[in-house]
Amino acid sequence: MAENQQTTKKKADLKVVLVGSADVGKTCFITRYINDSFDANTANTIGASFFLKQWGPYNVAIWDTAGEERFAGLSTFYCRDAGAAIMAYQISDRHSFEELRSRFLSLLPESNCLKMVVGTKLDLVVSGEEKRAVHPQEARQFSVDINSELLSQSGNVSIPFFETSSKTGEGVAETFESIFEKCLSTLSDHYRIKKLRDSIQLHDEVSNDSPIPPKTETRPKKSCC
Amino acid sequence: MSSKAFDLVSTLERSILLADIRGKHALPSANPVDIVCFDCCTKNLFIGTTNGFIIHYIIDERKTAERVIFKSHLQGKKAVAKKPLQLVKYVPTADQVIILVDGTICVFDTTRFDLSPSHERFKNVQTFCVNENKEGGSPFGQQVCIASRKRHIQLYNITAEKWIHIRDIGLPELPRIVSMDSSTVCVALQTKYVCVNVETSKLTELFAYDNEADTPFVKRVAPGEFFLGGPSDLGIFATVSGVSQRPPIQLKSGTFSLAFSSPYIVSLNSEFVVVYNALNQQQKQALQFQRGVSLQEQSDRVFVASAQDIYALVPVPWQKQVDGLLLEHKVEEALKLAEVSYRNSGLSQSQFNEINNVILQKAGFIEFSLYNFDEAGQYLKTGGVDLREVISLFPGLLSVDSQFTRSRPPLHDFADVNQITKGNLEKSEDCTAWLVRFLESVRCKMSEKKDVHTALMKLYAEKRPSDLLRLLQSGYQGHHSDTVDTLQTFGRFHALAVYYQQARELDKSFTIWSRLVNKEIEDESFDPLGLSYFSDVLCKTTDATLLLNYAPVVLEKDPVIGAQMFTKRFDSGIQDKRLNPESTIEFLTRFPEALTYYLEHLVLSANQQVESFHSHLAMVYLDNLFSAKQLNNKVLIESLRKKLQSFLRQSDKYSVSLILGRVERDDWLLPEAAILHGKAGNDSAALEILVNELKDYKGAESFCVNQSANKTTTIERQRLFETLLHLYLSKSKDNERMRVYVIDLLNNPKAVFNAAKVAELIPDDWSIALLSKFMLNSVRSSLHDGRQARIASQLAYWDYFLANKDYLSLRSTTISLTDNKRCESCHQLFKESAFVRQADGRVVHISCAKT
Repeated sequence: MAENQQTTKKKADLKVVLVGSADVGKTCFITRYINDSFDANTANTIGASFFLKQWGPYNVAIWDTAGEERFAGLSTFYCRDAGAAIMAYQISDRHSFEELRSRFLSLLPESNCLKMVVGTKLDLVVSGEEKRAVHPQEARQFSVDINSELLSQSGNVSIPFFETSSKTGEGVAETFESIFEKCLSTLSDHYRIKKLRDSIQLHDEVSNDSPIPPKTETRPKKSCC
Repeated sequence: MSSKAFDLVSTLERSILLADIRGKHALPSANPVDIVCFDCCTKNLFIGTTNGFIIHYIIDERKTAERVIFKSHLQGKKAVAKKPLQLVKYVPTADQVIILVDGTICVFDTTRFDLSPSHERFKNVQTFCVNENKEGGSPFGQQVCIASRKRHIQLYNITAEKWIHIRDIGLPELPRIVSMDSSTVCVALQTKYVCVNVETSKLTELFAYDNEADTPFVKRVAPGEFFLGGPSDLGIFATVSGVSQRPPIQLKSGTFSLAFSSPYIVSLNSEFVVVYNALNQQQKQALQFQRGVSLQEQSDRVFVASAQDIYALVPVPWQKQVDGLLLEHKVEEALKLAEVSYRNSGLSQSQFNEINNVILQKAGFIEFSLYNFDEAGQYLKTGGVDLREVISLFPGLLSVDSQFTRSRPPLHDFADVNQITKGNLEKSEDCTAWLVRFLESVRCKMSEKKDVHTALMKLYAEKRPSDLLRLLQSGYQGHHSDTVDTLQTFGRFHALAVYYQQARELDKSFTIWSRLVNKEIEDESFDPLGLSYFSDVLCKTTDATLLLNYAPVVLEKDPVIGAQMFTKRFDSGIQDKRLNPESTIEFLTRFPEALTYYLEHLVLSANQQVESFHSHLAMVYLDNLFSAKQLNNKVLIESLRKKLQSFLRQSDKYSVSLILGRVERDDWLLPEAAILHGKAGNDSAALEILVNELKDYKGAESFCVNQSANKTTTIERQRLFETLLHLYLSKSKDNERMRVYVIDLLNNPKAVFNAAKVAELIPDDWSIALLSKFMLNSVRSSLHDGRQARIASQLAYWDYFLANKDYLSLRSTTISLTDNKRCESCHQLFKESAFVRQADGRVVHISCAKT
């Protein structure tokens, strides 16, 4: 509560959004990661909810978006500036997988956004309660397609794809660790450069306004008398 | 439902409003006059009505201890239109009220209190707003953004004199609502929200809404942050950069007006005023409110207008909110609220800690009243409660002498624990048990020690005597009178004695223990300790007077334990004139058994070689023997006698004459007399007693054997045995049986006789056969002695011969002394001819030989 307020006020180092059709288990997925617990009767997310995670020196803001259609308009808004997105589908639900391409891909920033494809409710398929509807190879290929920019930039990156179960915890922590490692370790350089550039820009602006050319500033100042 | 954040307080009553509009004597009109819009700034309140009036009030606010009261003073009223006013906005920097009526903006001059004729009117206006965050703008100007009924917004800078048009910015759709923060205008368009940067004219799309199902609103809540009406009655936070930094809030349906009073979002729909906490997105409070019109915030107040009247939402003092939360057991929330409130109030960390502690303490007492003992203890402990606050809940535990008064303001409303338990005995016992646990687990401060100790003492005295002693013996500091009274009341006499002992009032404590020992008073906790405990305590006391005063109590009960007090003191080497052995012996004279034990310890165990102790012990033995004799206790007499005899034999320190004088008075003590005579060297007297009086021949013989060991020469030894032989022989004249003893004596290998003298003494009529063994032995030993002597003589001669030989050989050798011969001792040259030749043959200076 008060914590949230403070931490949201200072800028998070990475924004991760969780998108996907209704009832694929997005909130359960986050709850498993943050609280390491599982509740089968999680209420529908209204609009969006928010979690903050400390990863090493970094603050990571994790936004859980509502999967229901009526909040579709909001999802774009909440996905803005996301550094990574978890695109969740239910392994036993073909429709939820297809919606990733048809509905959710367009919500996400086109570049500079890692799109982690995550199959949920693996336990149902393993126990045989429900039939598998999406082959892992297919989902992996989807991940390769949508992350082409990222994969081509850095050659030796594993394909961002996991099959998980929030009930057993399988693959959940691995998903987040993989995201943080990919984004924060690569982005840390990126951020450093960006920050450096920001400071230079500021410097340029000041020097543009001042009548003295920027180079003279580096010279030792003359004494006043 | 959480505790409330605001109280609804009437600011402007309907009756006053109506009277002010129509004049005091006007009849009630058939046309209802309602409030449509209002604005407030500092004390100014401007109201727009359905009949086109603008009314100006000054609102005075008075704070009493309990609540806030508002009083309204009418400043003026003016009919400015025939239609209802849609929006009024007071711009104090320009002394203007901007009025929107029937799609037209007109400017109202507050100084003249009339519409300003010099300003143009703006037509086709949808709505307008003033910049709520003039960062970097002119202090005299105020930016106003007008949303027209065409697809653009217009920006003006207004001063008292004029409105200066800055720029128009085109929009993709018709604007419905605008709100301005610094250089950003957030606009609700027909289907979506956008942020417009007025400097760059750049549009940032936020999100879309359903213009049929949803009621849009735009409320600036913080610098650079707006709160917008989203789909499904969600309130959505959005920053000017187009992202969200807080999760959305689920609002009530049909919410149309909002206000922000950190950290609360206040919302208004047709039936309710609902308060949300922006920090956790939870509903905090809901107030029923019919026909609501609009909300306006003004410093920390939020005003809410209905069509009829105006109220203020006055923040409930956070302390009150905290109390409310505590009553609902929301301790965590209460603490957080306090933290937020205090951070805003700018008080120091230490002041905040104090407040925090008070909250914890209050929480502790509330939990306690619900018997949630674990939580209570934890909160009270972390809150650093004054333990006396807790103790004072339990009647009778706090001393009447205590300086403590309960804290003001009070931490709880309970007079005492009975008010909580309502006389339920089981519960009340639970409470007491918890108190004991609590007091034991908390480290008490110096100021509390006296009272905490007193309370624990009282609790233990009643329920747990086993812990009582531990408390009293470990730095107990309780109130004196309470301690004494309580311990007496509960019959904890042993504890009381211990208390006195710790308080250095030894006389009092010893009196109590004496009475316990004598069973004058009873205390079960003393029973297992008993006499030995008391004697230990006495023994350790440094005050000899006290020891001597109370020792008789122990000595009478058990002389040995009593005597041990003195022997232990003696062994430990404590030097004390009044308790040196002499005075102790004198003191113990009254207690013979103890005296015996003490003397035995001195003489036998401590090995004290002092004549008086030894004599005294012998006399004591004798006394004991006499008393045993009087009782005619044969077994006792036998054992005492053995003891006495062995002592008389072994000790050499007692005064023989003294004891003998005592012993000789009684015939039955002849054996002892014999021993004493022997000690005195009067062998014949001893032997006479043994032989003539006691007829203890064996005893006599062993006496001689023992005594002979002390004699140095054979002649003395022979004389001793001859004395006995003499006694035997003199008796054998009448008694044939004595011959056997004579022969036994003569044949005793340890006896020493001069055979010639014996031969003289033996009567002539004794047969040789009788004496043959003795004679044989005598001859044999004489021969042996003779031969031994000859061997010795021969050996001596041989020694002499060898020495002579050495002497001669030495005399026949020569020693030459030359100039370069050196002394074998100092290694110097010989300077004169005189020298010394030593026994080992070394030749040295005369001076060197001397050293």
